[in-house]
Amino acid sequence: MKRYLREERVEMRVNGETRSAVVAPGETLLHVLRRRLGLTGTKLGCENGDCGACTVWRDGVPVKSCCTLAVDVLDAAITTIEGLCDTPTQRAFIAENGFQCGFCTPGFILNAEALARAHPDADEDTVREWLESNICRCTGYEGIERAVRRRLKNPE
Amino acid sequence: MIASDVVYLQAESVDEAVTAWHEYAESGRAVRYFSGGTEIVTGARHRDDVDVLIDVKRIPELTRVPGGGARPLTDTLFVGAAARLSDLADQEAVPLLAAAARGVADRTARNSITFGGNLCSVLPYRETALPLLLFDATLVLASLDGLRGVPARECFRRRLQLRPGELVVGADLPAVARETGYSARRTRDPRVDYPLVTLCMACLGGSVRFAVAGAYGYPVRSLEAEQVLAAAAREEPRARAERAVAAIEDRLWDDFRGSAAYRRELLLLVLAEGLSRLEDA
Repeated sequence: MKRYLREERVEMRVNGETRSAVVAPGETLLHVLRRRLGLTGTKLGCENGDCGACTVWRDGVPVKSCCTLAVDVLDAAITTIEGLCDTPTQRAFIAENGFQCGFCTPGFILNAEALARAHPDADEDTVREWLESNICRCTGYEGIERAVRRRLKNPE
Repeated sequence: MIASDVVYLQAESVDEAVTAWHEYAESGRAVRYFSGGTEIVTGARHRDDVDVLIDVKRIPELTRVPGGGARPLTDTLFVGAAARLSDLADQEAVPLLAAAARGVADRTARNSITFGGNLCSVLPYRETALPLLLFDATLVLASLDGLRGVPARECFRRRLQLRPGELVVGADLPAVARETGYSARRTRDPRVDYPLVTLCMACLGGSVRFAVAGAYGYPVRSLEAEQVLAAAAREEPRARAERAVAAIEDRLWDDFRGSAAYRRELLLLVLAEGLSRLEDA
């Protein structure tokens, strides 16, 4: 049985690289990504699992990093917004102005890109179900929804 | 960030997890089993009530989902306590469990939240308990004495009745849980929200069964209410629903999300709708 008793140096797989960080057992993944690894694209929002601004991928599956302990994902591949570069979803968000202040955008993009990869032919119900995980306080949902539909129609 | 001095363990077997629980609890520490972790991590920011977390989601038997096949030599469907709700929502083997799982939190959260975590939640809804109550499932619990199976209706009285250190391994559902049944969920906010009423309903052997969350402060299945439904079989669905709800002794929940009267009316609507659908089918 693995035991994490106190703060210790660990290795993590983030955005295709092996990163080293000193992590306490009670530290969230969000905290480690932002403060220990400097990956501030992952946003600190509600810290209650409600807003989705802190969404990252755990082995390709979107999870909320504010509710995830860093020591719990040492055996997983983590992807943050810094790990996505010029994806079809990012291009679609630019084309459709799928953002206003931009704070929620990393979470939305990670969720939308995961949706498109898991369900390339997603119907409206599936899109709605996935997008419910993220909140935009600027209420710019129309542009976001247009961007997701564009992404699903244009996978390249 | 939760308490900086918390200890985190990753158990690889049921025995290891249960033994570790007692090892730490005997030294006076507050020990909790940990799976999806969403409720524990968010809760621990406000309450310093945990010293040791024993992560159980790497224990193979705890991660099984129905559709992985019935257990050999039994005619049951086993659901592991560490099965993620998004996996349960996507499986088709137990449709009412899929529907219940789909109602909890949001899609991304369900990628972390587990079946056992939902059953043990401090929140009053615990919607995945509904199909267990409805189909008379058996909960499989582990302790230092080994495994024991307890009928869900016996083990789930308002909340799970666990002995100190007992671990929920999973639930055995009978093959009849493959029935489609009827489910409905009503919320105040059409997006992600806690339920005012969640109904889980099936017709088994000509008798209608139903279980409810949200309307009361905990999941409820009332045999008395089901008997009333059966006795009034010739009446209209709405009248039968009213008789059945009147037979439930528990007090309807009343809070800022919905008054007791509003929750009662929603319950009557979905129950009458369910009766019509099941009987038409």
